Amino acid sequence: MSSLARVAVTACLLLSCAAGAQAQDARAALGRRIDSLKIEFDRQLAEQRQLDSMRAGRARAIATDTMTAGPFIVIDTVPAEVAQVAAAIAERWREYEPMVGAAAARIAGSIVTWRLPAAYVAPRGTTVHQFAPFMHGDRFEHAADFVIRSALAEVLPGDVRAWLHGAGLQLRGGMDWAYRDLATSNSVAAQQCFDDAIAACISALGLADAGRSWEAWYTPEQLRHDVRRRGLGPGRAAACIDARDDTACLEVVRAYGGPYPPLTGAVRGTLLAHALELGGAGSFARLLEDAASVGERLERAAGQPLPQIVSSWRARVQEGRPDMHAGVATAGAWTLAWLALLALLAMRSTRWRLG
Amino acid sequence: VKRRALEMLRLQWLSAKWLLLPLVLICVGLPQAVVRFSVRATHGTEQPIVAATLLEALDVTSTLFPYLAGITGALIALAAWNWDHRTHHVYALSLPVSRPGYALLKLATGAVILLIPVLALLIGAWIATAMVPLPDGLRAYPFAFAARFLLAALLVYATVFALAAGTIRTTLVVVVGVVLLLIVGGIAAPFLETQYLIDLTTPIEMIGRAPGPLRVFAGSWLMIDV
Repeated sequence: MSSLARVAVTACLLLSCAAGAQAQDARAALGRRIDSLKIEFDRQLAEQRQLDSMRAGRARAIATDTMTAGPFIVIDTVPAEVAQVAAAIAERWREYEPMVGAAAARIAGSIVTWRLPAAYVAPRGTTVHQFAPFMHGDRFEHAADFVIRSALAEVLPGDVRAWLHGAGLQLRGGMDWAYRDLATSNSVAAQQCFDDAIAACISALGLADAGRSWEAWYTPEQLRHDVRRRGLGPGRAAACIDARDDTACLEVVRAYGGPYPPLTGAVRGTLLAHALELGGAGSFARLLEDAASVGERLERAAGQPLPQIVSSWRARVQEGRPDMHAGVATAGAWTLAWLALLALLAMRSTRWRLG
Repeated sequence: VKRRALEMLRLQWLSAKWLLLPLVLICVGLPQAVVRFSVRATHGTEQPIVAATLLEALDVTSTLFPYLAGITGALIALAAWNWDHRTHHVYALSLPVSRPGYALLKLATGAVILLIPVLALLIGAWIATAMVPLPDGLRAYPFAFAARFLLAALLVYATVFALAAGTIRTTLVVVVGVVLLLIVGGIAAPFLETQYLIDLTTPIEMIGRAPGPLRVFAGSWLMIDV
């Protein structure tokens, strides 16, 4: 063996020893790291248990009274308020119960509170709903209704929530606003829907594909108007508006994530409410069942094909057209009464006596 | 009575005719200006008109009309008493008519005079809405609009008329009393609500909703709507 070969063999032996030593070091370091993580995990677990115990204790200490109302648990510091809130919720729940059906189990145990101190921390995994009777008139009924709708909205499937565009679950009324939206929408689909084209209604409500360029929703001219309304600066927006370049309009609309839907989430909500009403008992539970699309969910909830649901919904929206003369007539009657009172006051002047 | 009413009407006309001229011009012109401005501001020369955009613009510009109604009613009421105040009620005292009868006659004839600017507004609104090609889904409501204007103007007219019929002292007492009630009530009602868990309405809310006197001002003042 030449001296060069000996040097090479020695170097290889040294390197392999070093590699082995390095691997051993790495294994030891990894072991130490795992041990330290386990300690950290145990510490965190102990802290979490302590925190949960504190939460439960605090909840028991602060909440002086609780009451069950439907699937909800009302917790408050003032017993009289607990009774008031529970009565209001139980009253409203009676109307919702048949529609919600078995899905009530999904919201069971939700906490409702009115004036619980900020220090109160609910047990983990429990939803707390704020009872807020700030409105005048039948304010308790409104607040109870809001709590129930909020709880139901939370268990809605993700696709339905996305379809509603952040609008809450509105199960009563709203048809006058739906009419206003439908009558004034700058969308060819909504305009055709207004003229009784059910397929256009389905498209305008976001239950059918709008197309790559949203051609089922908007004409190029309507998209241009949308770009103009958003007040976008020079560049492609200017080409869209001033040079009337339809491609530029599409590019601008794509850049800001697509156009606004022809009908708002609140209007879509009126369709959902209509489908639930058509479906009657258990319709809400059926809405939550697995389905491929929102349209299919609505069909299951209502127990009818989608065109039929949309057709009857459209008829109800048309009925909801606000009566522009009604306000004047009501105001007129009261104004005449006030005029009579003011005339009486005018007749009792003192000027003549005092000169 | 008919002769006296006609005589009173002639006097009211003489007292208010120069005031009516600018009022009539404004009442004819403002609806047209508002509609044209709303269309121009939102659409320029672009056609067709987009319903939602036009309504949004009209919603903003139509806030001028409650003020116009208030000003019209107040001016006609002041004009009705102006002559009496300047001549220290000598003419009225010389008439063989009771004080309540005189005030009632004056109130009624003043209301007739008030119809002139209201009619001018109706004509203005009718022209304004007829000149714009309305998109499907929108309708013109010139009569409902003019009716609301009439009611609002009548209410202000009757209020100012009643205040002007009394002495300055009475007027001051009434005005200060109402303002104090609004302020105190506005503070006290929410306080009592939270303290005693009772449902209260503030005086401002009370007068702004039925059966409150200002209900007519709170509704829609749009000439064009769905």
